[in-house]
Amino acid sequence: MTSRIVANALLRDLSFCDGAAQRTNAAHAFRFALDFEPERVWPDLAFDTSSPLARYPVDARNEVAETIGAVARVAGTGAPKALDFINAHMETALVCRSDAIEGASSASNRELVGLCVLTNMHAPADRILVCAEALLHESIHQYLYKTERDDGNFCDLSEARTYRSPWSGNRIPLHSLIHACFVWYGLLSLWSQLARSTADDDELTPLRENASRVMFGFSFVRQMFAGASFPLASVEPDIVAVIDRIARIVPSAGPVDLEPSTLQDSLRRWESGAWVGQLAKSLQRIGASEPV
Amino acid sequence: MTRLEPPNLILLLYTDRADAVASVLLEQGQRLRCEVLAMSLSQLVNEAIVGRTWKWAGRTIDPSSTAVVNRLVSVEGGTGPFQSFVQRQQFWIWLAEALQGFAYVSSVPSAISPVGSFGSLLDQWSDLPELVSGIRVPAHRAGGSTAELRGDVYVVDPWHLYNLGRRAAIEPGPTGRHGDLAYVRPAGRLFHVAQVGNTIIIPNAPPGMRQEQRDHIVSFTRSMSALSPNRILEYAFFEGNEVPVFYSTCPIPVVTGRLPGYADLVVTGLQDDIENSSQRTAARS
Repeated sequence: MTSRIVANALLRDLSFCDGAAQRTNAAHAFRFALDFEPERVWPDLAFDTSSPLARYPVDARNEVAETIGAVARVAGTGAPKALDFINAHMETALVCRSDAIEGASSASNRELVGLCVLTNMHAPADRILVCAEALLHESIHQYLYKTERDDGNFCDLSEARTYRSPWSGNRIPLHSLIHACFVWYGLLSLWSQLARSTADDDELTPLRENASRVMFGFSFVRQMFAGASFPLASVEPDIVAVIDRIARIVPSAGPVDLEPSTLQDSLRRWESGAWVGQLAKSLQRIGASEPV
Repeated sequence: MTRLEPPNLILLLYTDRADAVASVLLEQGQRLRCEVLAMSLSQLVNEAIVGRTWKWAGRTIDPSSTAVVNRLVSVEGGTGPFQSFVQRQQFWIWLAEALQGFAYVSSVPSAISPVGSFGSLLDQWSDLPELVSGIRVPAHRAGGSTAELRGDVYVVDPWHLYNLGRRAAIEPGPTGRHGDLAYVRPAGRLFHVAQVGNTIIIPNAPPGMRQEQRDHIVSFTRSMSALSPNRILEYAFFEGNEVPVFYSTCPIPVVTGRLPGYADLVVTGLQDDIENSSQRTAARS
């Protein structure tokens, strides 16, 4: 059974906001290994990770490794807690390419803690942010797997029904949906922290779009949990409580908190910069939760 | 039990004057027992001052005594009042939050649609049997599954709620594009049911529809009325061999909205639902 202390620790450990973080010129790097020639067959992917066909040509590997290195520098300078978190929980990334998967993708598996698969990381135009999202996303899964292993599962793993994720739009099992709530909370924290550490409009725009996407999903989590067919009793009560807390507070970082005005004015003000401060304030409120 | 006064204003929020529900309220709103105030999406975004109360066109709108008929059927597209995707997304978040403060909401926004939705055909065929006992849905399998289907197998894009798809190839096994849904087409013709609150009409019922089939529909729609936050729905059913087989539900009355009796359904059903809603709220308090 997940205790209230463990549930609250999730909020703390997955918060990468740090108002005191300073940009430094120190060298930043990931410590996990990159495996470009995996022998392991990943259990639940649409392609065989051990196949030579899933390997990058030798002369293309450096480009992917450079992208991953760039992620380390971005995280290290803008969100050092996120860099430390990834280094603490990721051991090896299997780096593959495949036509069976459209675009970039990543995967974790409960039976393979410490490992993840990164697929087609060369593909997206904004590959540094996509790769950053993938690495933190999968590192959070490793952390959640370990927490469940040590302190009990967050929900009934035998619950076979699926539910539509308000973030990805995919139908996923209950345990994946519960993990997703924490993964997206952690990612929102990353986007917020990176936004606080830059004043560059070109850098802020994709961070704002990413943050808005996460906020959108959290706006509908409580509705989903309240649905007549949702197996709320199959989820640990303290896990429900912390997710409910996130889902109540995160949407309030939108234009809804601004003073009475037309929506168009509120939306413009929010979009032009107020979002960074409001989001940081919301995340601090969540992180400051003592008893939920 | 506390007696709560029913809302004294109906606020119609709409994007399309041709939407069947919006059209009835715009043209026949005087038939309802309280005033109908119509506000387009553009007016909501650009003119209304929104906060604890709303102010618009010299009026103050108090959400606690106002019923909202949400017909913001689409907030997408380039002609709307939003200057970016993020603005549209943030508006949607705001809408979902803001409507919770009203005394009555006809359609609660979901992550899939601003007028609420039970999702794709796959969502509906997976989720509704969990909610409504006795409902029958077509035998089906999602794209990629190799489960064998026997009968008149069709393949459909599950997001096309008004498309029956195409007949599958003769060969067994996985069919169609990834994401397609294969199903066994039930017997009989397709007919539609329109529901507003607890009131229904079956304007294109099959000529030989038996009483037990009609009872099945009534029982199903009562269950939906009891559990659904979406008060305005249209359903498609196949006649079936014994009881009707559910095909889909949609918050937009694409078929029944054009048929005789729909305007009366909206007026009567909405009036009753708003009044019953205030009684339900009072009973809970």
